[in-house]
Order: sequence, then structure tokens, then C-alpha cells
Amino acid sequence: MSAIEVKNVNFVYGKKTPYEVHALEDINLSIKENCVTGIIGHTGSGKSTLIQMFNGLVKPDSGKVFVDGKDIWEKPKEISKIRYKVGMVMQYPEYQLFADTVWEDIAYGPKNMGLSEDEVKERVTTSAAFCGLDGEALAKSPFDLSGGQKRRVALAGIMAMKPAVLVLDEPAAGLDPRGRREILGGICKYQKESGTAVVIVSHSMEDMAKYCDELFVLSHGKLLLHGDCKEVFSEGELLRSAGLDVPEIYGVVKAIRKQGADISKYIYTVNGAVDAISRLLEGRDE
Amino acid sequence: MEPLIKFENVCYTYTGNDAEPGMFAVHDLSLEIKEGEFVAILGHNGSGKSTTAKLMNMILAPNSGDIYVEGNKITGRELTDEDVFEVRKKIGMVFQNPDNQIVATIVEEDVAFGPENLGVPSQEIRKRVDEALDIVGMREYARHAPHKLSGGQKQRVAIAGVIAMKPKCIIFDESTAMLDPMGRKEVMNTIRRLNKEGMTVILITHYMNEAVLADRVIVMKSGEIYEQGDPKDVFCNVERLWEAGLEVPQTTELIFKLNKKFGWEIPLGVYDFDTCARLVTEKIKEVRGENVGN
Amino acid sequence: MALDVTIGQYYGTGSVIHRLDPRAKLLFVLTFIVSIFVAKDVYAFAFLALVVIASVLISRVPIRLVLKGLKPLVIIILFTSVLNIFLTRGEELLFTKEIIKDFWTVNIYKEGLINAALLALRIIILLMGTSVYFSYATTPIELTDGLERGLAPLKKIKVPVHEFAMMMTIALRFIPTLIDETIKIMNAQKARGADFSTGGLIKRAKALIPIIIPLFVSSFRRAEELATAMECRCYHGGNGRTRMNVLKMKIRDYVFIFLSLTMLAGVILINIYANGYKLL
Repeated sequence: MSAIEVKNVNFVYGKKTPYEVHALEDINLSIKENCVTGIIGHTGSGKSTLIQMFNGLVKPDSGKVFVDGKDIWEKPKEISKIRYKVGMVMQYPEYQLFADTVWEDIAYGPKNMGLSEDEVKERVTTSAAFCGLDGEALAKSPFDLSGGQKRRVALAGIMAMKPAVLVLDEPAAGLDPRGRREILGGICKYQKESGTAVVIVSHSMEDMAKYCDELFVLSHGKLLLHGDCKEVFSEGELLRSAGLDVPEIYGVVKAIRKQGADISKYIYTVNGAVDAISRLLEGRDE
Repeated sequence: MEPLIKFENVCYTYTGNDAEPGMFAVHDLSLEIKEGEFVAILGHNGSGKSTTAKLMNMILAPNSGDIYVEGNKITGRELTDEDVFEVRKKIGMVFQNPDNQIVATIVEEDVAFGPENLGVPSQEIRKRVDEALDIVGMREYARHAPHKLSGGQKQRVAIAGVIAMKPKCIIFDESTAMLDPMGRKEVMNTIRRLNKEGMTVILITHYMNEAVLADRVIVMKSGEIYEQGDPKDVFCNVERLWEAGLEVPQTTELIFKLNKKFGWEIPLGVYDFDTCARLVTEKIKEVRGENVGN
Repeated sequence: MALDVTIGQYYGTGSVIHRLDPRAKLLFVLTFIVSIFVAKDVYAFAFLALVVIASVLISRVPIRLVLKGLKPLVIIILFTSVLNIFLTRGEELLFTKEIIKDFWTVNIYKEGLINAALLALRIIILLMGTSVYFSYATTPIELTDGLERGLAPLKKIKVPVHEFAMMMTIALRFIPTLIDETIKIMNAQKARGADFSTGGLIKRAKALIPIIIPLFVSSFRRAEELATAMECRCYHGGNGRTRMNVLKMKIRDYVFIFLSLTMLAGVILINIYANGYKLL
């Protein structure tokens, strides 16, 4: 069974005003369990609207969203329960911190869930530790931390809710390369250890190539491509026409093929290219 | 010729930080920016790059050391408001968050804001605003509301706002960090065009593929210059850059990793796809040729 | 997504109304408001309604947009109208019913109905007229500009007119940004299980803390960044500052002011001489 399933979903912004925009048009997709799914698209492609449908922050004009096989809008009054199942880390989540201490802030979600005090404590400690926040940091005010640390607090706040699906909107936006690696690597590690489904939204193709198992590409509110990294990145021209950047290495590999070396075309990371070249050479040795 | 900006042993300390009192944000920094140059400043968060930028146009004043703009010392003496305006007029700055630097509710009014502050006559402002909007390609949006524009468009408006002050140099303080790839491309194209037309550009960025376009790269770490020079040379120090928490372009990374794995000696550098591919393919063919020969 | 707020929702079409001097428009709106409150006769209302319709047409702002701006105020309009139906005493009784014996009798008079309709009309044309001239056809910056110039003489008695106008401009500039931000923060907290719609007053007030604090923090951050950006662009208050668009009254502005005054005079004349139904 898939973690999230979206069927024939449509959404229009600013209906019946001069600013009407068809944000999503007849979207069908399913998010697999136990893997990292990437959603890629340029700004205004509808990707943010789409993920806000996953946890019921936005209601589709038509079509259905299923979480765990259940239509989330069947009982609109219970929509807030869906938000415990589908945890959402918004863009620049550090701007949502509010509590006196980091501990209190991480505990906000679990407390809203009505968990026992011991359970809350347990969850806060574990997820904070996972995000690299020690006891000393937990006692500080979140506003005294560095940008990267703040973001990890926000992330821990959602992880502490132990959602079945973790959705992250541009989790690495605005960070330096080391910060990007740490946060994205941490998310993947979390996925492997917890076995939850993780959805990452981004427009960085390099990052997506490195961290995702499965990809959906949105363009102007429509689903343009779907598949694993191999399949998606082999459509380099289509991606470019949708205003997306293809990883640099893709261009290099393509040029290598053009110059007559028989290297696999399904390569989208530097390490992948190194391995392929090494296979190519070893294949000759045999 | 006098350099446009010159730092001599500049130190700057942030005070009032409980965690690490008196930490150097910039330490004993000496550098020169020549007129017409395109300099990229790299470094992880907290390496002192933004502080350096703010020292250049007198938003911050150094604790010690001297700063010169076109040979005029702007430190160590009482400065009048006019002195400060003179520097800020010459050295404009575009910031990271496009929303927090646009003052007016109409694009052209915002572009006019700088010249208005300088007391430029009305007709001259009109001319400058139109020119500036033409340069960044936003003329057709002159009467639009900024909050309805895309991130890249907003940054181009912010750039126009600086251009209208007729500066000699523009500092971009991570101006592309919050943009999507399209917006980044728009802004980078504008920056390159400005530089070609003679504008001195200082680009602070996390993106290596932007830094490779510069004439010179300065890598900062802990408030000091860690590495500097032609981007081709700087990016060859792959391991050293990794140590500073930075990345190198993928073409360079590929060659570096291949060299390391197979003991090859393909010259490191910053290449376009085709050159990189040619070097790698030649080597593959060479190795295979030998193997066949054996 | 941004809420639709009428304030700061400039809709540029380049019409003659858009191009009028803001001071002329300010004066017009002033006389327009006076006219509306002076108007007593049905024909006077009809005349003012025509003025509004003509203004919308000339401004070329889509009527749909103008009507949408009224939406948030529908309740107020309905409330005052309904109140009027019940409270007006007239001559022609249409309906009467004793709800509670010897205590409360509902009487509806024909005059009450007409009064209610006219009062609703009064509010609607007031809102439509002012929003066309102030929101859709005048940028907030022109408006503040108009105020700044109009009130310039007060500078002599040390009223900080420029500073006030600048504050207003920045406030207007950041309203849409802050609304967007509020929605984002609300969504983020909803995603963490926040509940803003159930519970008693205290619980609801408490639920707002996770929104208000981040909003404050980010507003301060924005203010600081904006101040730095303004400093970089040599802002130093109103002294020695020039403007790109110098306001200059043209012939059309004088004509427009003349028309505004004619409108007021017209309304007064209709009040005196017309024989339509008169508002009580």
C-alpha cells in the first residue's frame, strides 16, 4: 500500500477574480512507503500547494487524497488528526519557533497530540538527540541559536510527532554547502532508521539526485515526469524545457557518451560517474 | 591606479554575544578590489563574508585597521554624513531577502528611492530610473506592485534601485540564496552583464557555479582569507575547499575523484562539459588501449 | 496564498482617474463623503450612485473586483439595514405582530424598508467610491505623497509630516508581506497540531501565542534588514530629499475639483428642490 495517494486532484487559486490561477490540474500520484520521494518543480509549479494537500492544509477543489488508504476529507472535522500522521516541515521552518526554550518548542507538537508527559519527554529527547541538539542546547532559547541549529530544532519538533509520512518543503534552502549536506543526510538517515516515508520538495536537482529514490516532476500544475532518478534524469531535455536545472554531471556524462565511450546514460551523481567509469575499465580487464 | 576598495589589517569584533564574547568576525584582513573586477567571496556561514561586505560600505566600522575607498581613508577619523553618503553612493549593496529591501509599493518608486535620498533633480531621477529598469530588463513592470513579482524579479528591482544611484561597485550579499534556479539565472545574467559594462562586482555566494564566473575568488574561513586567486586555481585545491565546508564544481570533483581512484594525472581545473568529457574520454581510451596492448 | 485586502490593492489601468493629482482625489473623496451624508432625497442617492458607476467605468477597474472589496462588510451592511427595518417608525404600517404580549411588538413600516435600502445604498456607494479613488486608482505611495504635500505647511510648526508619511508607506508596503507570513506561520503551527477554533476564550487566546511570537520576531528581523537596506541607499530623513514624481496640479485637476464641488452643490440642490422620498 502507498503512504499517500492523490487521485484526480484539481485546485484553482483566486477563483473568479482577475488573478485566477490553475495551480494543480488533474494530478494522480502515489507516495511509496519506506523510501525518500522527491517532488521537483519550478516556483509556481504547484508543488507547495500539492504537499499542503497531503496533510489537509489545502482542500482540493475536486479529486481525493488518501493517507493510509483512507480519504482524508471523509470527515472534515477530523482533519487535524491527519496532521499527526503526515508531519510537515515548511519552508524556512526556523521562523515558526516561539517557545521559551528549545525543549518546549520541540514538545509543542507532541503535547498537542495529547501524549503523556513521559512519552513527550522521551520523544523530545530522542528527536533532539537525532538532530544533534544536546542537553545544553535544549535549555537555551531557540532565538539564541544559529540559523542552521534553529532549522534543526524545527525539524526535531516535527520528528517528535513520529508521523507516518514526513514532508519537507525545501529543507536545505538558504544553507551553505555543509549545512545542506548535514540536513539532507540527516533526513535520509532518519528515513532509514525509522522506516517512514519521506517526501522532499526542492528545486535543487543535484540534491535530489543524491538523496531521493523516487521522483515526481511538476510543471505548471501538471505532472510532467515520474520515476526513479535514472528514469527522470534521462529526460534531460524535457527537464530543461520545464525550467529546471539538470545536474552538471549529467551534461558531462552525455558529452562522454557523445565522444564514443560506452558509459551508461543513467548517471546523475559524481560518485555514480566514477563507479561507471571504473566498471567500464574493469569490464575491459576481464 | 588606486584600488577601488582597500582593507589594511582590518579587525571587527561582534560584542555582546554571551556565548562567545569578543569573537572576531573579521581578523586582520587585508584585501584589494580593483575597479571593474568581478570578485566572488566564498565561505561557510559565519566565516565573516557578510561582515566584510558591511565594512565596505560603512554599515559597520572596524575595531582596528584601515579601509580606503578610491584612495580615501574612511576609517580613523570623524566622518560627516556627506562622507558616508559619498561611500554608499559609490558602493551599493543588494541583500539576500528580496522582500526586506524594497521600500515602496510600486517598482519605479522603489528604484527612485536612492536617487531621491541623494537629492538628485526630479527629471534626472526619471531618466536614471528608466535606464536602470532597462538594464535589469524590468521596464515593463515599472508600475507593478513588488510583492506580486517573483523572487528573481524582485532582486532585479533591488539591483535597479542600486544602479540608479550610479555606483562604481555593487556588493551582492547572498542575493541568489533565496531564489529558485530560474531566478538565480536571471540575477546572474544581470550581474555578468553589469560587470561586462564596467561595473565592479563583489558576489558573496554559496554556489560554486556562480563563483567560477568571477575573475577572482576569495575563500574566507574564521574571518580570514583562506584561499584566493583565479577560480581555476582555487577550485583545484579540492580537499582544502572541502575542509572549509565548501564544494567544488562537479566537473572538477569528477576529475579529482578519477585521478585519486586510478592514479591518473588529468590536470585539475574548472571545465565546461565538453572539455571535461574530452579529457576523461581520452584518458579512458588511453587506458583501454594499453590494456588491449597487454 | 494572500488574502484579498482592499488596502494597498492598486489596479493600474492608466485611466484619467489614475492620473489625477492625489491631492485632487483627496479633495474629491472629502466632498464625496460630505455629499453622501448631506444627501436626503432618493434622487440625490441616485445621482451619487451614478457618480460612482461613472467613476468605476472611467477608471476601468473591473466592477467584479470593486464588488469583491465589499464582501467583508456585507454583515455590517445587513446589520444596519435590518436594524433600520425594525426601528424606523413611519406612517404606512405594513406588518405588525405581537411577539411578547404587552412587551414587544414588531411593527414594520414602508418607510422602514425604504430607509433600510437607502442606508445600505449609502454605505455601498461610500465604500465603492472611496475604494475606487483611494485603493484601486491611487497607489498608497501617491496617497501618502498627496497627504505629505497637502500637509507640508504643518512642517513649520514641527509636525513630522515626512516621517509620518514614510512610516505609512512602509506599513502599506509590508501589509501584504505580513499577511502572507501570518498564513505561513498559522499553517506551520497547524501542521504541529495547533487548534485555533475550539475551546474557550482563554484557550483560544493561548493558542495564538505560537503565531504572535514568531510574527513579532520576524517583523523585527525584517525591520532591521529594511533599515540597513535603506541606510545603504543613503536614506537620512526628509532633509534634502527630492522626488521623482513632483506633484503638479494640471488643468484637469482643477476641473476635477470644480466637478467635485459641483457634485456637492448638486446634492444640496436636489435635497431642496426634488420631490422624491426623503430619508427620515
